[in-house]
Amino acid sequence: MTAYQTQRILWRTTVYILLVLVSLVFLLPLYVVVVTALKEPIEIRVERAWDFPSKLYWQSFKDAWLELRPQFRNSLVLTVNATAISAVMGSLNGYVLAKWRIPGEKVLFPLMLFGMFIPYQAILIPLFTFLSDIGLSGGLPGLVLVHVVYGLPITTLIFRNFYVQIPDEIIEASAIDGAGFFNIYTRVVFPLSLPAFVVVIIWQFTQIWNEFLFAVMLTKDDTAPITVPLAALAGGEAVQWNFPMAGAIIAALPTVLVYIIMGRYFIRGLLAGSIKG
Amino acid sequence: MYSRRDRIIAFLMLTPSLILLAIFVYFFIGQTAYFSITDWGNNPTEKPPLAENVDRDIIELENYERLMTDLLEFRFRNSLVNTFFFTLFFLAGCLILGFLLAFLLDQRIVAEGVFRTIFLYPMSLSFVVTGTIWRWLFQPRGGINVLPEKLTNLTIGGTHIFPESWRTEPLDYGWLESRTTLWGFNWADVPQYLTYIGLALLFIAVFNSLFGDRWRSLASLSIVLVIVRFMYAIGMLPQWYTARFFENIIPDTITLLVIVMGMLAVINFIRGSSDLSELRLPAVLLGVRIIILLFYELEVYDTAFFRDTLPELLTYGILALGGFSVFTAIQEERYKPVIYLGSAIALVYAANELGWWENFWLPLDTPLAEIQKGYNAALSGIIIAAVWQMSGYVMALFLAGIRGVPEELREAARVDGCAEWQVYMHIIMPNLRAVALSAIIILGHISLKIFDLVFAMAGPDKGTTMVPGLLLYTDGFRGSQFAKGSAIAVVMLVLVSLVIIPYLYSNLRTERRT
Amino acid sequence: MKRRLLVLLTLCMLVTATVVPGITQAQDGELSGDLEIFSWWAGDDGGPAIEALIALYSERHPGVEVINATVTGGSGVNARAVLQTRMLGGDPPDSFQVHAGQELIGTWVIADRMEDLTFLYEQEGWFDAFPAGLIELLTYEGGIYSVPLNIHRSNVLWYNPAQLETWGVAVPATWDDFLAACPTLQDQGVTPLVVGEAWTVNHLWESVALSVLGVDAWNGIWTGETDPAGPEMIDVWAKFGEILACTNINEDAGSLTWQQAVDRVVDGGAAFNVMGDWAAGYMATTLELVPGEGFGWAPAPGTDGVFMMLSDSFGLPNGVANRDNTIAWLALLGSVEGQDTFNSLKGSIPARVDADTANAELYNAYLQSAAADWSADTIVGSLAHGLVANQRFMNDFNVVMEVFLTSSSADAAAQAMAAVCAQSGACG
Repeated sequence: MTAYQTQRILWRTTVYILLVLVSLVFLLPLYVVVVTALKEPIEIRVERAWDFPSKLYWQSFKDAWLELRPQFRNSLVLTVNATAISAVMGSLNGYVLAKWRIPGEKVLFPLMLFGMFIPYQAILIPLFTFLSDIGLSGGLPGLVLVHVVYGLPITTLIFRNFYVQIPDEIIEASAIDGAGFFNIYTRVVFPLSLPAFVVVIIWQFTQIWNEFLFAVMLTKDDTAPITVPLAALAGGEAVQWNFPMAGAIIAALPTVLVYIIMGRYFIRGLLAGSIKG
Repeated sequence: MYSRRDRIIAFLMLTPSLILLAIFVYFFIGQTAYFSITDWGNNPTEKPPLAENVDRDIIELENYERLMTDLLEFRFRNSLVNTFFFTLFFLAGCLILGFLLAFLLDQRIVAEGVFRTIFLYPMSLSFVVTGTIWRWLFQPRGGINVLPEKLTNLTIGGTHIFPESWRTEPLDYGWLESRTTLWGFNWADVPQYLTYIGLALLFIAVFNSLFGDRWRSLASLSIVLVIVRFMYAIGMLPQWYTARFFENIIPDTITLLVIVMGMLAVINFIRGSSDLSELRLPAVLLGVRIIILLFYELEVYDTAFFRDTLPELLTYGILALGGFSVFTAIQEERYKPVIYLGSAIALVYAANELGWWENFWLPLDTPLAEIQKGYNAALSGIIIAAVWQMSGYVMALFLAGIRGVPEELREAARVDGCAEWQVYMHIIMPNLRAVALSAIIILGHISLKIFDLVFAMAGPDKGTTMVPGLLLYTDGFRGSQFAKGSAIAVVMLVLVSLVIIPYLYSNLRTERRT
Repeated sequence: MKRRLLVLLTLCMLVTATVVPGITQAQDGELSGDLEIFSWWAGDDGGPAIEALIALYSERHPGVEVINATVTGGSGVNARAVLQTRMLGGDPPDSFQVHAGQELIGTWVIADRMEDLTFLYEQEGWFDAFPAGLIELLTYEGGIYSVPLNIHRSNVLWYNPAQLETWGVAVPATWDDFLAACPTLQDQGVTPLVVGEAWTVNHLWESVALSVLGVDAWNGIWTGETDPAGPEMIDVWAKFGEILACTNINEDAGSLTWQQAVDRVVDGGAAFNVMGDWAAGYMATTLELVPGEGFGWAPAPGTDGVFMMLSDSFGLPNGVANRDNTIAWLALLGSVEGQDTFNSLKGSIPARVDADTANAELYNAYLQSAAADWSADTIVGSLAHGLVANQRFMNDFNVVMEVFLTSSSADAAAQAMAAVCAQSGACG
């Protein structure tokens, strides 16, 4: 064995050891959550947070699921709709901004982007009043609207940065062939945008699913998304930690699944140019 | 190329988004800004803030002034300090860990997908969930604190895995309960610190822009002055107050410099390699030497002169030189933003020094003033939780960035005999600059706005972990001080804008160039 | 057996029908539509009690769909934010939970957001049913603005009798007694007095302040007769500081909910806890301890003969969508049956003077003793729970506490409190 090979093996072992160690640290909280959720309430003590449950107690999951089911459904409706609408609108906006010269574009685009950075507490009162005025307060449609609007800057940004990389020649060629605004979009631009859609969908899905402030402010009990009862479980005066932990697992499941399934495409999508800006 | 009709359609497609954002962002911000200059909620007994036709009067900037000067508003000022440190460590943690993970994952790893998912999954959780989990982990009598004990006392079939000497007791670190404050500072000194930072930025910009220029020496001199002034301010130079230094060392050094430089200039002139312009600097120095001499002869100086007057003169000298340098550097486009920022800060400082707003920045000398200013150790737990949540995202960004570097380029470097780390240093790192910048922007604005994580982890009323977003929520909503809440919101917006606007600006500029 | 049950039921209904005419009326009225009840009672903390009350309402008015809107999280901070936003946006819930006193008057009534309920009091004959002093707390410029549901006591000291015996410590009658016992307990590795997250520290403070100041000076803070920065108040802070030194404030206080703090006392990790008497409900219902055996209680040191009270109440906001349903709800709240249903589960004593507090099946030993004190003691209002000071003062009192905890200076705290007094207008 040459010195080079020894060195190489040593290096690779170090890499794997490091990766496993960091992974363990990343998984610690998950371990605690799962273990706590599976414990009987009587067994839960801070001092024994790391111990395995003496017997698996699945009741918390059943209870939490019964409690969270209606809001889980609301969250699905909300997230799917808001994500889809903001992705499509963002895609069209990105297309317009990247490929069509719009008067004042240099000013409009940054102005649109700025919306992404505002602290949302800052606009709560005007927002609520506005939604009441147009009759959309207290329901899911209002919340969908809000998430679509505040999602527009990031979706527009990602799509625009992605579309900028499509060579103008392709589009010009179609234009010369007589394709109009929509034809170019449906035939040329849209089919190319899958990676950007993946990034946008993952981003929006997580953001909207996990959002709490608007959720608690703009909905009522029967229209609330899942973070509201989850916060009630976790942030209430409850002492039975198994229940909120089980609730947290249920609430996190859809987004975690999205990451597990689409994680590979997420990085590919980022790679495809959405990160430049 | 495109038909007129299509262009109109394109614009129309954009309009709904523009209108919605105009209302939801700018109109609402406008309303908030308006609330922030009223007295809405300032006087709850006389003017009930929650009345239907609420009685609001415009009081201009009073709310802002109170946030900065009112003794009871120390929580706001502390929340700014907390945000500063939170942002600093959160960014550093995420970038370092994210880069490390991306680097490790890039080593052609078996089961890369598994590791990637493990690092990414925290990002899919809401801050409410993260906060709940980590609050549990940071319980002083459990969680992280008992982990070392649990691990070192692990047994398999009744026998200990680790030797006796390894076993430990539970830790007693307070985490979120900690009341320790590190790196304390006096709030009244903040304008000065800002000035130094601003001036340093300014001079770095100027220095760079003037590289090779004839004003270069002037700029570097200014930098030296700034450093000296700074060392004075933080008391690093107590022994320099001694007269000996000023009486002997400095004048002698200057004399020596004048002689050497003058001789060099003359020699160069004689050899014909330059004109007499090289004599300018020694001439100036000679002037300084003569002034010093005059000072001594006229007995203008005493100890107080070195302690008080000289630093002040230095400040004005710095400002004058700085202004002059700015004037010359202003033509250089790329340094403009930095220069504007620096000048703005310098102006604020100057205005403060000149007493333009006497009450704006109180030197606080009541008992209330001595309240924790610095890095609150209680923030550590929250920073750890935030890094845990967001470093996976940074890893994904970096990984994408690394993979974006063409393999041929890396191979070529390897063929040239570069070690793996050298490939990273010279080929990959430079390509990650844009990625790092966008990561900084995304993380930076998250940390400036942070609210739910702190709320879920530490609760709403803990001064040690207070952040502006939370204060806005507790005081603005629970305390019905809507005007004050709006003012905090505006300050947050300004902070975010300071990060975002230069970024958007430079981004669009580079695009225009390419 | 079945017949006896039937007879009992009929009897019950008859009693209700005669005692509570309002309900029978409402019953005839065939109400329909929605009723949105807004509170921060969920989970262990009042959840079952409000649900039982709602069940009772639904039984009476099957046509009405009751929406139990609870917003929990961090001592009602979310609930308050949601409520304020909804009110400002012109979309009030049909009825909402509010503490009697300044939280109701100083926040909502002076803002002209509530409907005067005098008509309901007259119709239901409530002027005799509720103590006059309590009605006074709901009154502003001649109008009465909410219906009280229960009475809680704030100044109670909880302990575990068996444990005290092993440690050889008696229940302290004054704070000085407590301070004397403090080293004994600390030497045995016991936390003498356990506190929890931020608001429980404020809660402790009000009991200390009451004992140092006495009734008149305590009331004087809110009328302007006691100087908030005066020597008496500095004494309060100094005493408070000594007491805090015997607590877990610098260890893990902030990480404990009030229940976890109570758990410490039950487990024997701590000797005493000052908490409102919802702690009795928690220990008796959730932990299933027998009052007097599993846990003991006494007035907070130095406050014997004084009952520091708070009361949850519900009101009728202006311009609600379902006014008739809300009035029926309020009528039910104020009825004997409504109060007994709720309070036996919540672990509080009913606000009505004629409720069935003697019934040992509904009210345990603690509640009976509290009911006795309620009628015998001097009554003062709680600060930490919104009775004596407005929202603004309560919110900013956290700042005062922060000043004290970080500076440990009684002077600084008193100064800060004076400043809060001046800014909030809460001190006369």
